[in-house]
Amino acid sequence: MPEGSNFENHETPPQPTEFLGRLKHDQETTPSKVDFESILEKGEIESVRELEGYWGMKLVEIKDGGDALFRPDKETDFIFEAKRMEARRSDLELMAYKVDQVLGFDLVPAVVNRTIGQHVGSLQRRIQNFSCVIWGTNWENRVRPEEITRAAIFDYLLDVRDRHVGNFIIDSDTGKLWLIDHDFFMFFDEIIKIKIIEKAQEKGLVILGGAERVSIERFLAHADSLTVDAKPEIVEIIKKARDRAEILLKKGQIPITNA
Amino acid sequence: MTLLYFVELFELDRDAQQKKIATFKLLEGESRAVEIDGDRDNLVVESIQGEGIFDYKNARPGKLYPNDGMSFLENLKYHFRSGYLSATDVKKRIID
Repeated sequence: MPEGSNFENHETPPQPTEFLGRLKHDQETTPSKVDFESILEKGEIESVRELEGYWGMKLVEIKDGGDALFRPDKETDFIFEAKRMEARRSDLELMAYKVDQVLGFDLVPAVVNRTIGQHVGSLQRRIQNFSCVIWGTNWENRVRPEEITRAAIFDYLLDVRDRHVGNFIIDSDTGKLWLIDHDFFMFFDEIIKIKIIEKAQEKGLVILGGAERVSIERFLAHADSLTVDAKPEIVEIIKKARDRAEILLKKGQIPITNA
Repeated sequence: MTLLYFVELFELDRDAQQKKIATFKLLEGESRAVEIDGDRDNLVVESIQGEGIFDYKNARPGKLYPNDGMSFLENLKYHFRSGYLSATDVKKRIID
């Protein structure tokens, strides 16, 4: 959500179907936001380089637009097919981004669905100024406290399962935190790893502030718009998130979890 | 003839260049423990040994460490899948 956006000030919240369109309009009029999403969607691709690693990821250089990570769905389709799911990785990545945008937290790097080299997948802005989070190195002291609280809210709402230290990165210079890897394991893994929620609880960063309450209320007002034409698994995740949003507002904090 | 099973771990740097930071190696028929070659000072490598990784492949509770041999090796690609850190599948090579 662009800084200064005032959805929360509407006496009557915008209708869900209007919201994403309005959000896009706001992004288009805010230079720092416009650039990422529209560049990812429409930018001219200059080069595509296969990255080492198992999942067929590619580094895509976009003319005058930096670069992005492309994750082709075909590499992970087998996981979803084995579970007879309709959703694919790119659906999950996009859903996570949209939820983050509705919340206005700006924790998930911009991502779009795009076809590259005849393969459908997700194309996500590459964060350049980052550090990998390393276990046991007090990463939490290099991140702004509100970033931890908001990331914990995001993870709680979406009931993420795989937020281990490999699935978020930080920018130590600005204290920014980025959430990545919103794939099958993140939403459906049986073994729950919720490092950010655990850290938020440990540091006493689980109480909702006024801004967080407004974000969650906005999510509740617009959750339906995220389920329009969505695949069943996405609808389920959003439905659960809506229930959890109610719990958050009622309790005023992230409930204790024992993962 | 001995088979060497190995997994390579790559880090994407700020200039979008991938750098191999470790190779995890397991010799067939010998000790079950995975050996780690590479930048031992790299905190990621140190972290893997200290924290371990989860068993995504079999969805079993508990963690896997280098001493767990092939199970550890097979799960590295699931653990490191972000693009910022990426592990290869288990590869094998004949050595002698």
